Amino acid sequence: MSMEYSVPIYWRNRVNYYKLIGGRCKKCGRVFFPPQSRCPYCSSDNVEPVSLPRIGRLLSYTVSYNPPEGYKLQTPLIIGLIDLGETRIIAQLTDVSLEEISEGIEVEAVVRKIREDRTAGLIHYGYKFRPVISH
Amino acid sequence: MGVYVKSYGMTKLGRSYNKSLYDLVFDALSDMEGLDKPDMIIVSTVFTAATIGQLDIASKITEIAGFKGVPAIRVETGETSGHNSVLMAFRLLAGGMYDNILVIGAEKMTEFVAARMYKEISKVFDSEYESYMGVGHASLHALAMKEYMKRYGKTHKELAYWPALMHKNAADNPYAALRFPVDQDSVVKANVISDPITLLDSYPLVDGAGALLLTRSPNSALAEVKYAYSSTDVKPVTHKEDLLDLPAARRVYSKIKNENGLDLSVDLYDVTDQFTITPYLILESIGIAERGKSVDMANQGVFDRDGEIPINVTGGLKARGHPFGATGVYQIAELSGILSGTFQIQIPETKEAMIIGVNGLGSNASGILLGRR
Repeated sequence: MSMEYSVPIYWRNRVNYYKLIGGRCKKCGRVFFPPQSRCPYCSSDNVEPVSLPRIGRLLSYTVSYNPPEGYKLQTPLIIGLIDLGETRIIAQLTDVSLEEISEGIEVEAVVRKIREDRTAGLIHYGYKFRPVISH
Repeated sequence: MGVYVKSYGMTKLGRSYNKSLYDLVFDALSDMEGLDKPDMIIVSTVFTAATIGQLDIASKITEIAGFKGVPAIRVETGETSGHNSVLMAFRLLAGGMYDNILVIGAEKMTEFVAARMYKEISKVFDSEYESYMGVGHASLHALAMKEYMKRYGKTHKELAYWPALMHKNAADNPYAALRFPVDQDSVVKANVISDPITLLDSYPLVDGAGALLLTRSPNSALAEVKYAYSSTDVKPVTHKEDLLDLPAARRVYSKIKNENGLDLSVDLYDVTDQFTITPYLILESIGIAERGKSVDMANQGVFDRDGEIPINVTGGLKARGHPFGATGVYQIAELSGILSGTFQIQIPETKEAMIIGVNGLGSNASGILLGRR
């Protein structure tokens, strides 16, 4: 059985996807997402992983009616720009109707199915955000 | 020691279901005048590994071109591939490595359904954290467009001056894909792709091939390539300091301006405008317009063909079409034609023209300054 998507790539990223791991620069102090081995702001390689807060504020969003292939069942996709305090993240919004969304609402990270490998049947998971219900 | 555009060839952009990528390259080269064997071929294409499944495509294209044996490489930097191909050719020629380089840009974007292409196109952004999540080309530009409208209090209809102008400009470009007029209201009311971006705020998926013969000899050349410069910026959009700022484009523009002692503006510009928001971000990032003012300038007609600073006079990516790897080649070919008086569209008194290409929301930027021969 062949696979369309790489399992090792998904496997390497799974902790970042599930636990919202970003990077913190020990030189300039900035926090960033996605994580990488060099600070995007001061280019220092002295960076460490950091758990990002799972609750943030929705800064903006767009509703996508023509998403890339592989996301048809989730259409329309709601793509949010979310403020997590020290950094921002772009993610799908889930468990929410278009009427319930407005800029400024509190949203929280949840683990959800992102896509399915058509031929191998593997399900890839990742973060999405929903309006806060777990206070 | 100068570098010159000796000749160009292009195919009409559109859906060429009956022609292969190689047929289009063949047609573009047949459209050229005085094409002798070059010292090198640089092929610009973004999606061919995915769309037609060919690697080392530069050698196959070289065979089709009839120049078997000539060294050939492919350049890929997303939406700036064509610009950076010309930049590489410019450097090699200016450095005296070669006398003639043929740059060929080619893309086939209708071999699959649109959703499949949108998946490929989304990879011009960060693949593992943006494309993976289903975030496409249009959605990231939509977030930028929303932010712009909110920050500067502009309406979609005001922004829509740009696509309406591009359709008007493309009407007499024989190579353009969308030659019908649209008005600002119809842009706003068209089908939504990723709100606020509608179908008419967006570029069409097209097939096409374009070619430029660059040379060190000014004899019977069309235009001079006076300078070329390129710069990069962060890849993930969330690493950007400001969603609306394109620092790489600013570095490119400043460098070209400073190295050539230019005043604030050259006679003619051609900038990336695959979505309505993009040209405004470029013009404000490089300083042609103040922050938040470019939309007003557009609505006042400043960027019209007969305006103070004409931009994208041949229809832009928006209406000419955006065959990714070939786009920069089309822009440079058309402006070379305008500078030499050989293109179907003429802008009198044009002495210098600048092309600024941007990938995505600014991860790569590349600029070319052209002058009269």
